[in-house]
Amino acid sequence: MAEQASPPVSRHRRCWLIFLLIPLVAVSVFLHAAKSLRHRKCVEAYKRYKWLPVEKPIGETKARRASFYQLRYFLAYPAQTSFAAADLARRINDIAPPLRLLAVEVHPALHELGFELTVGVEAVFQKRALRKLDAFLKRLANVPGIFDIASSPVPAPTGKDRMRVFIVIGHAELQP
Amino acid sequence: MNWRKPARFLFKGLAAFVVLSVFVVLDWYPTVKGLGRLRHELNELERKIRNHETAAAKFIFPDAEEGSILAQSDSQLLHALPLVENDGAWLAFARSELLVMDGGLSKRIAFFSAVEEITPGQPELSGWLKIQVQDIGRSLKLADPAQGYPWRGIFLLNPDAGERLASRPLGVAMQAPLPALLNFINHVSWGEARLEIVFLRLEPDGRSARAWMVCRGSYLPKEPSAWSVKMGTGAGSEGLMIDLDSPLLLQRIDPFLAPRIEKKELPPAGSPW
Repeated sequence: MAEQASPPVSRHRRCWLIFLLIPLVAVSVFLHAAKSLRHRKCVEAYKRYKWLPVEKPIGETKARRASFYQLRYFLAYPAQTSFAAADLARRINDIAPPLRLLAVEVHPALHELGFELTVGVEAVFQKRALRKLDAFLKRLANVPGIFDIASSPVPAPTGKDRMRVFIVIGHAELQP
Repeated sequence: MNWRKPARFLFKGLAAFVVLSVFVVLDWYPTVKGLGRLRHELNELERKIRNHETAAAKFIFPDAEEGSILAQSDSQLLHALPLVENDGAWLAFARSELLVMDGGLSKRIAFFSAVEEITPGQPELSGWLKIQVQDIGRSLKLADPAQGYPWRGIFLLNPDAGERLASRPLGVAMQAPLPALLNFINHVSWGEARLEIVFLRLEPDGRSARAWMVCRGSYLPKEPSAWSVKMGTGAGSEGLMIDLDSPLLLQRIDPFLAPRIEKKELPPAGSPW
C-alpha cells in the first residue's frame, strides 16, 4: 500500500519546487526585459546626442569664438598688467601718508593682481600704531577694485625711530 | 516516524532559501544595479540633449562679418610674437627695446636673466639686488616655461613643421624718481617683445625709488630653443579659464565685448581715480 501511494508524494515534492521557480524566473525575466528596454533607450539617446553637433556645428563655432576671446585676452594682457601694477603702486603711494610705504610687491595672475605691502608706522604705543594702520586699511579698502585686504599682527617697534613694520596683503581686479 | 515531517519541512524551507539566494545574488542584484546605472546614463544624456537644444535655440550662426573678424584674429596671432634667430637674439632684442623706450633712463637700468648675472654695476642697485637674490631666483623660476605657461592652449603650432614657441624670463631693475619709475613699469610691456610682468618689487621710500621686476616674454625662435614651450592645451590651474557654457559664445563675436588692446598712460600723481 505504501509503495502504491509513493508516486503522488514524489509529484507533490517536485511541484513545490516548480511553483517556487516560476515566480523567481518571472521576476528575472521582468528585470532583464526592463534592463534591455532601458539599454535600447540609452543607445538611442546616445545616437541622438552624438549626431547633434554634426547636424548643427555649434560646438565648433563656440570653440572658435572662445579662442578669439582667449587671443584677445592674451594680446591685451601685458599692457593691462603693467598699467594695473604701476597704477596700483601709484594709488597706494598716494594714500599711504602718514604711514611710510617701504615696499610694494605685485604678483599678477591671469585674472587679478595679488599684492603685499610693507608699511612702517611710527608710534611708540601699540594702540596708536593700530589706529593709524586701521585708518590706512580703510583708505585702501576705498580704492576701487581692491579686495581681500588683511594685515599682520602688531609687531614690536624697531630701529631708532621706534617704527613698527606691518605687512598688508590683498588683491586687485585686473580687467583687460 | 514523526521527526520526518518537520525535517522535510525544514529541508524544503532551506532549499527554497538557497534557491532564492542564488537568484538574488547571481541575477537580480546585478540586473538591478545595471538598471540603476543605465537610468543614470539615460538621465545624463537627456540632460545634455536638453541643454544642447536650449543652447541651439539661442545660438546665432556666424555670418560673413564674423568670419572676417575670425580670419583677422588668426593673422593677428601669427604677427603677435617676435620672430627671432635664437634665445640670445630675443634677449638682446628685448633689452634694446627697453633701453630705447625710456631713453633718458637707460643708464639707470640693470638687466638679468639669472641670479648669477646680478653683478656689480651701479653700486647701490646691485647691492640692493644682491640682498633680494632669493626672491629674484623664485620669480625667475615662476617665469620659466618648464614651471608652467598660461597661454599654452592659444598657440596651435606644428613642431614637426619647424614651428617653435619659446618663453623666457627677463629681470629688469631700475632706480629713478617715483613718477619716472612708475611710467617705466607701465611702458615695459609696450614693445614688440610684449613683456608680461610676473613679479614686481618697488621700494618708493626715499629720494630715489627703486624697483626690480621679472617679466616673461614669448617669441618664435628659428633655431631650437632651451626655453621652448611644450604644445598642447592649457592644463589645470595654469591655463586661462574659459566657460564654454557662457551665453557670450552663443552670440556673434562683438569686438567691443572682447578685451581691449590699448596702451594707457598713467594719470599724473595725486589725480583722482
